[in-house]
Amino acid sequence: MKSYDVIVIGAGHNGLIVASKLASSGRRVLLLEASETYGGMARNEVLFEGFQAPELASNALGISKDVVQDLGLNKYELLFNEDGLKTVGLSLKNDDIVFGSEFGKSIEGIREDEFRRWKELRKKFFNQSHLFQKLASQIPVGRNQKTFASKANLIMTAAKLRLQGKEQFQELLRMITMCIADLVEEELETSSLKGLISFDSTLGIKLGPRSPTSYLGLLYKLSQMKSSYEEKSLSINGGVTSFINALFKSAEENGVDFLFKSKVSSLNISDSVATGVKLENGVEYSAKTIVSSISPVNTFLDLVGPKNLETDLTRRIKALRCSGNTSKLNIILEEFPKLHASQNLESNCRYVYAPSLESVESNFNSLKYNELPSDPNFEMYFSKITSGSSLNGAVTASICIQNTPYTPKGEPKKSKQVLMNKVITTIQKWAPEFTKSILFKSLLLPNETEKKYFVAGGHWHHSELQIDSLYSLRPTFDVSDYSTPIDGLFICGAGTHPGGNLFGLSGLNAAKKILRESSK
Amino acid sequence: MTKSKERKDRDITFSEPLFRSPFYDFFAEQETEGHWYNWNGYKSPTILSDEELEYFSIRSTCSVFDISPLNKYRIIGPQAEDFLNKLTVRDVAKQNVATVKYTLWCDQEGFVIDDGTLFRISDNDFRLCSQEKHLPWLIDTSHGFDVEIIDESKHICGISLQGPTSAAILRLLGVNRIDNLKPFHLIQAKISNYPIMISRTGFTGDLGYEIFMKNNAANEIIEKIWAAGKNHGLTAIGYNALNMARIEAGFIVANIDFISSDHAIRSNRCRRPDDLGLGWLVDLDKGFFNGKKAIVNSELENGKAFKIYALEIDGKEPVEGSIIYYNKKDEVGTVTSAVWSPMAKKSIAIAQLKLGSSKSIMENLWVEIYSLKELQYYKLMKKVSIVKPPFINLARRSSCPPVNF
Repeated sequence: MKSYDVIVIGAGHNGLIVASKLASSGRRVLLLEASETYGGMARNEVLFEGFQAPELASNALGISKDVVQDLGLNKYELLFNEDGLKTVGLSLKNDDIVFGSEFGKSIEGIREDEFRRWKELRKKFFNQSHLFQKLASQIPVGRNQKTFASKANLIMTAAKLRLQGKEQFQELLRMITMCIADLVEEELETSSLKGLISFDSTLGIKLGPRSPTSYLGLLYKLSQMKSSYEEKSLSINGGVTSFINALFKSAEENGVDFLFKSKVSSLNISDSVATGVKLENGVEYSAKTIVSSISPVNTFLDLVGPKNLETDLTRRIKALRCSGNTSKLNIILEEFPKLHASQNLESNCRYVYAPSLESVESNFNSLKYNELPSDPNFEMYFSKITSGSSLNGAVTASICIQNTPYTPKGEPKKSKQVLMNKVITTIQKWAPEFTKSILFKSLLLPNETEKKYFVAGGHWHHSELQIDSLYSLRPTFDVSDYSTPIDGLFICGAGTHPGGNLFGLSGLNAAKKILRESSK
Repeated sequence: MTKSKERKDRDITFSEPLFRSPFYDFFAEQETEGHWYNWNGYKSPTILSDEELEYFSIRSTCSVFDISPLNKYRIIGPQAEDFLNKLTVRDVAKQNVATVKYTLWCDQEGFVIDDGTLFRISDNDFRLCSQEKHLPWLIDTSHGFDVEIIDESKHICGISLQGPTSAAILRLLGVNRIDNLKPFHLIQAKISNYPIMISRTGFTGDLGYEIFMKNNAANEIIEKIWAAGKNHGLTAIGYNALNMARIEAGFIVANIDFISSDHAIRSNRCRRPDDLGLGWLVDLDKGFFNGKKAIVNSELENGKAFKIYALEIDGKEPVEGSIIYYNKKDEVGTVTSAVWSPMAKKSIAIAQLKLGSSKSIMENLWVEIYSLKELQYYKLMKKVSIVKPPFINLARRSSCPPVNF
């Protein structure tokens, strides 16, 4: 049996970060990945005629500056949106609003007094997102993690918030558990602006704009925006791939051994101590430290197995809300779609179809009853294919559809077709020749993501990012500090604090924790 | 649907809020005092005729007690043994077929959830009896095991025959194998062609048997037993008599002598097996089980916890619920169960005390008793001595074959 210092399970971005960081400390690290290549849910897949692109993660939100600095990623070619990413809120009535970069620093298409109110509100949002920004890089103070330094960190964070003044502090306490609908309706009038903000607050989580605590979703997103590398988001054109490639190169340079097509079937555990892993093909590797970057549900229920797990923890893991609710539609077009005469397609833009708050809420209502939304909301990015394939010059449209059930009612194939048609019909209204130039389209529902990417529930965040599953409650209170009741087993996936998108801090925090543990 | 059927099916939640066990009619016929209480949702007798006489039937003739309200879970499947090894603290692999073991199970902190008896009916077929309800816990624990868990509490009923003449009564009923039945063993037998399971177990520290059967056999079997026991002093008893006997035997009861970790609201009320004096049950050599890690770790920090002790107290005043003091001054704990033992001729008690390991503390313990005598309280301080349970030790309990009284 071959032996390593550390085995990392799953070559998603968090897995790559942990592997690279631990390898740079001189440990011999083996990274095991079930699929053929690295990147996890951000990995490249062949979409059409040999053209490769990330099938799932088109998300251009930023990556943590701590990760970039710590691993020295800026020496690789990272692609960012240098001028920031604008968002166009589609309303189909020729009155689109253009939401400037940095979450609406400027907005075109709304009245001036409305913009003034928005500016105030936006300032408040960013101010309050500071809390999450501070907490993101800390190892949560929890059941096992009660060191003086970690407690002091938490107290300092709270103190800083309080020092902003009584009024602001009270405002934070008033707002933090509110729904986003109440907040925007308090201040704003423009329907499409309200729709856009509602959409952004609830994309990827199972809450509607009128659900209590849906405001947290927005705070979370803004905090990531603020603490991303130079406050830049990844480029729409290959940014995600450049990040994943940089992580891979960094890991490779630090001497990580990679094994692809090596799905781990179980962990070797004796008396609550992890000693190694067993692959599906029967090969075993041993290591003192095993880090799992896959979802906590898969880690505990599949790899550790209930036979090595306390009933209490099994209960809590089984109760994790991990069924996904966002679908991904990839379309390849012959060229950039032509719009109605009065409009122009801007290349560096995120297009969001969420015409009103009511529209987002009613889509969420359908989701509750496992029904397809009647008028689905979505965000989309266009990027030109420049690689030297036969598709040179073609355009990819990468579309996230919000509030789609994990398993829609009815016949699966048919409901997929229905959903795809609904989205394309909406786009068609805005770009009349859209359908004609479609070369390829494919839709991935959460239950398909689950199978293809080995993620329980097919949830992008591994488990819901909500008030009861953040910080020291993520994924559950007794495993929130990246360690587990199995000695030598750590978790570092998106299911741990702070999780979310391609941020990468889960991996970095876990690596720091492991280094600290072993230096004791 | 006929009229009588309709009446049978009607909702009796309000008219009869307590269940009646299949033996209810029999016990109701025996009662002259009429003290009943709610045991696990069943209307169960505390006293049927006379508490003392009922108690003495346990010790000198034979008693019959209804144990149908116990929770009974059937655990069947190829991985039943593995499942039970994860659930309970004892090594189930070491339990032979046709035996019964006293066991307990813990949560992840190593705190005791409940205790109970585990009957191994065959290799892959077990019955677990417990005081509290645990179906959700059992089902959640069984995740990942090829095992089926059936709550048969409502379908299986049972009686407990306890006392010196119990073996003789069963012999009269034609259960010949009773002679070879050792303590904590079980046999499958038949009375009037009804299959029954007899185990040599009980909660009295005396010679005795527990008999489980399907509900439809209840009437026929209790009649046969009652008739057979006519000349052997068979007496129907309520809980109070049984309680006296179980304290003498030094047995503890969940939520009386310790708080089940399921029920405890205050975290410092939870107890580990060692605190209950049941550390000997825990098998740390077997593989993983619920609470193992916490139990191993707690052995290092031991000494500060409340533990259960068996006490003998000077004098004959009742001490139930009294506070125990060190040096007549510092509180160290409370009495959870107490009785004047007619067998030991002593005032005995079970108490939870925080003593540490110092010998000098153990030798200077006092119980504060408020004794009510004709509307006036007398405050007494009585000397307490720690003893090793059980308070009484009866040779007939374990003699095999059992003596024919």
